[in-house]
Amino acid sequence: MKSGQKFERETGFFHDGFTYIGTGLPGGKASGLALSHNILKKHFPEGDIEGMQVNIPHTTVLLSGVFDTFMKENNLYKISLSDASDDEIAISFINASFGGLYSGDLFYLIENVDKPLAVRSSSICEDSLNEPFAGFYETKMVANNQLNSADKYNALINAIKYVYASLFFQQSKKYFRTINRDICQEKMAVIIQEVVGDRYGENFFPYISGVLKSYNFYPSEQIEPDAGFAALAFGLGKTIVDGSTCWSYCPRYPRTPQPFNNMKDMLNNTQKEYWAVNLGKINNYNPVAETEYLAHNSIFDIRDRSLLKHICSTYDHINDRLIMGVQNYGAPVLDFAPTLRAETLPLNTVINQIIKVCEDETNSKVEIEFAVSLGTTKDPQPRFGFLQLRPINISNEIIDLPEITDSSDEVLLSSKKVMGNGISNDICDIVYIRPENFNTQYTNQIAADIAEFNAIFTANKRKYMLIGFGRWGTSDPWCGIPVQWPQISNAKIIVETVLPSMRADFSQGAHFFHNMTAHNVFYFSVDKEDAKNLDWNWIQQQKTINETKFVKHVKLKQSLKVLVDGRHSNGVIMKNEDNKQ
Amino acid sequence: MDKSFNAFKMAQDQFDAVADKLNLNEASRELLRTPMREYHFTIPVKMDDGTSKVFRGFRIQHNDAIGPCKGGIRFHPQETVDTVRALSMWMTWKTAVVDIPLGGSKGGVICDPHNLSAREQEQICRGWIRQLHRNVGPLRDIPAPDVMTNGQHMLWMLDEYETITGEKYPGMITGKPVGMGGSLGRTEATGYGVIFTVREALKEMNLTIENTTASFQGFGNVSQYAIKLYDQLGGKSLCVSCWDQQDQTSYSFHKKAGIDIDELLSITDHFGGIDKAKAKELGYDVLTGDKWIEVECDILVPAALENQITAANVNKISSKVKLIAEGANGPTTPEADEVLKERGIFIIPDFLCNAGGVTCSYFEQVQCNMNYFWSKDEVLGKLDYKMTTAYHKVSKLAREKRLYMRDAAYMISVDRVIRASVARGWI
Repeated sequence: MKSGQKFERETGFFHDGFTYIGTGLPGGKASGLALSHNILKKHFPEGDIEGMQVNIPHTTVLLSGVFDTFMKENNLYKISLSDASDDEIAISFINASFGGLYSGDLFYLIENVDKPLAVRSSSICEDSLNEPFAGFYETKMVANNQLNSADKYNALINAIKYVYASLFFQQSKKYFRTINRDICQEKMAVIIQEVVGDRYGENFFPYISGVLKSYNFYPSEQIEPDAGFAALAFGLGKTIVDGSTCWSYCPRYPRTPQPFNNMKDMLNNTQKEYWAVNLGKINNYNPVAETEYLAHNSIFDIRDRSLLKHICSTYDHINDRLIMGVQNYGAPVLDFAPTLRAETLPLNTVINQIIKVCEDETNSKVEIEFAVSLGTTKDPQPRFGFLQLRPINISNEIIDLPEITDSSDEVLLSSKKVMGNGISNDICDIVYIRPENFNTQYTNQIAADIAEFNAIFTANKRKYMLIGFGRWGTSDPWCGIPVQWPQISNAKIIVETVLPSMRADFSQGAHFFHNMTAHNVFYFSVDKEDAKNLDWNWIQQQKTINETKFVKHVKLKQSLKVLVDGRHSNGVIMKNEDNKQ
Repeated sequence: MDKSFNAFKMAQDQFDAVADKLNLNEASRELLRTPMREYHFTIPVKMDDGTSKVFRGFRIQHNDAIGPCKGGIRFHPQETVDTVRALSMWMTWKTAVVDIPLGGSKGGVICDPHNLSAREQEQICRGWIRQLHRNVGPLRDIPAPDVMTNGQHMLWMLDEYETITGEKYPGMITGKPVGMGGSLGRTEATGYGVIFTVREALKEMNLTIENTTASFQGFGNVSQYAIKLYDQLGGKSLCVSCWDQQDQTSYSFHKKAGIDIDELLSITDHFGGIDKAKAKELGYDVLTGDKWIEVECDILVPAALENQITAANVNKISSKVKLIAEGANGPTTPEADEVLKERGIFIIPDFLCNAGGVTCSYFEQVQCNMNYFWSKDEVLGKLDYKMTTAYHKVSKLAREKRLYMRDAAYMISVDRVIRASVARGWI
């Protein structure tokens, strides 16, 4: 689908909807944006909900034909398909040229724009329902505040080339091998989009970034899965996408307290750092780094705490309690209470309306990324910038689970926090992190070990069950295993459990979960209350095939039987009688 | 070439017409219809066979009110000083129309490089600089390659200049090879510039470039890159003509389905001549050199020499032609111009259409003076920006004042030079 209008040099970037440059396809993400624009125009023609401006940010899309010409004219496939490192590939791309076709349009674009820009991939395969490529390719923000047009222009085109190059980075190539597809068939369109946000000193960022899912794979008790789920963060959405600490809640019940054990637990598990576009001095010129123009700051370094008035409570350490809003004493805790409980911003109302119209229009559950800015003193109207719309694949197969009792010997584990839907009878390999040697300081090594095991399964075209501790796919190695999707791509069943020494929310990284959903991975979360704990003794009795200090692969005589009821998020994994030793 | 044709007279006639429209006073006319300075000199060279030969050289500096002079050096056996004078004047208009801070000049040597060894050519280059080193340089007059001169010639000249002055002046001359002070994108600049203006003109004419066809005269640097970009934008090139060094005549290569630039380049010699036999094998009709102008297409791009569209052949232009983009300098005679005007064919005048080369030369000089070199994308992005801006400035004036495009371009250029001359107190 190609929507939008051809880029015109004088006004192209500030067109209503989006404009495009070149020929070819817009890719999944840009198509989602076009759909979003049409939905918003249809349902909210005034561009406003409850006093909040709602729109898609100004956007220009470089269609996939631009990528084709760029690759062909610069003979880039040779190095792209070689074993060269990611940096070598990125540098080759940055040294290549767009030629006479597109340089002028891009120069005109940057001449007329002085806001920070996000350069995002929109590949033909990315974000489609059947081919999960979400989060594989890089996004790069550029500050776009250099003094002269040439410097702004160079930063922009280097960012575009970097995003192009990311198609051929190691993890992407590995993934294409995994799914048995020819990487040369992939085409990359690129979205050049204004960053929704405002300037705060030398930083530019959205006040709130968010990811909405209208179907919750991990609903709390008494909250139904289709009540949805939202993750909010202060600053750029990179915090959420990377799986770092953010605030999660159900849009249908915004006032429901989050399941923290105690105040300390809450203080430890709320957002403390945020990402912003750095408008100040760039210390490291590095066109092959995603974070070249970004700053990672602490919320405790914000001088004017009143900035946090819509999103924080203050910890009163004398009484060990939280007081909504910014106080003159105590540490800020980003629980978004003023917005979600006192509705100082109509965000949740907007979210619920947006979810409803998007579900109706797409006839499916949806995932939405957005950013909220407060506006300037001159124009204080808050703005909800719609960044992405993606349908979620929910299986409709109805699964009935057997009655389970704690004493059931044939059950390997059961859980009431399970993602996925369906039955599997073909898994007879288990890869697990050895509980006796597990320590959070070695999670990077564990991730590397698992990647090695996964590579063997990939080569043999076999699926397996993966068991580990803490969050899968986290960017924080102290909270879980910091794997990327290709490192576990052949896992059919993933089990996320905790040791008594750990306390971590279960995984919510948006792209990580989109990949799991699209691959129909069964994802079991196991904690004491909701699950029959894993039968570790039984697992350890199975035949060892391969092991490292931290990870072990065991082989079963017979395959496991897995049943997952997606409607109720319940699931069970049954041992097979023949597996008894 | 028609021997009675005098390029300088043509350039003066064009200027006089604009001077009337601008109501210029006598002093202004006198200043601009003749060059400010002329250098005529001899270059004695010891030939490889031990004999000595004396070559005649020129440098004509037409006007430097806006900035240092800028213009190429031509090596041609039929070179005349009047041609060089005309070209120097057109350079003044060309730098002015794209609004770069340079004046206009041109130089030449009467010689045929095809009959000279590399050493002999080097001696001519060094001799040219020995005669002129006080009158050229980064702050006075910056030469560049032109007909039958190239980056190697420029490097010899630069080396001689730096040897004489004892300093390094990479901005003294442009068109140098990349890595030796040359700019990325210079090779493509003129041809791409032609198509940037064609693209903008077609937009204004409400024509979709994908639905257009074109015929090109010449298969040198300008044409090759113009065809390439035009094809990339979706246009279909039907015909190209080229000079055949062996036969000492030109041929046109026509293909109804559209010519393939890469295919033709693979059978082209280093003089830009296409192999006729191989072209026939590839399905091209090989026609006489003048047939390019008769092709039924939307766009004609004369990108070879001056004086190519004349009263004698202007009526052979197909009624389908809507646009002529003058990639060469002075390809249309005033008589032919009148006919084109009457027929309502839209003209992108030479000194606007082919100004991509000098614009990129200016970029090269800027980079050399900074000793900091830009990426190819930066060069091409700025080139596109400059050319597009210049085109629209001319087109807007033409629309507003109901002027012929050539007259509008002249009026902008002459006006800029006059203003600079007045500001300096010259007139």
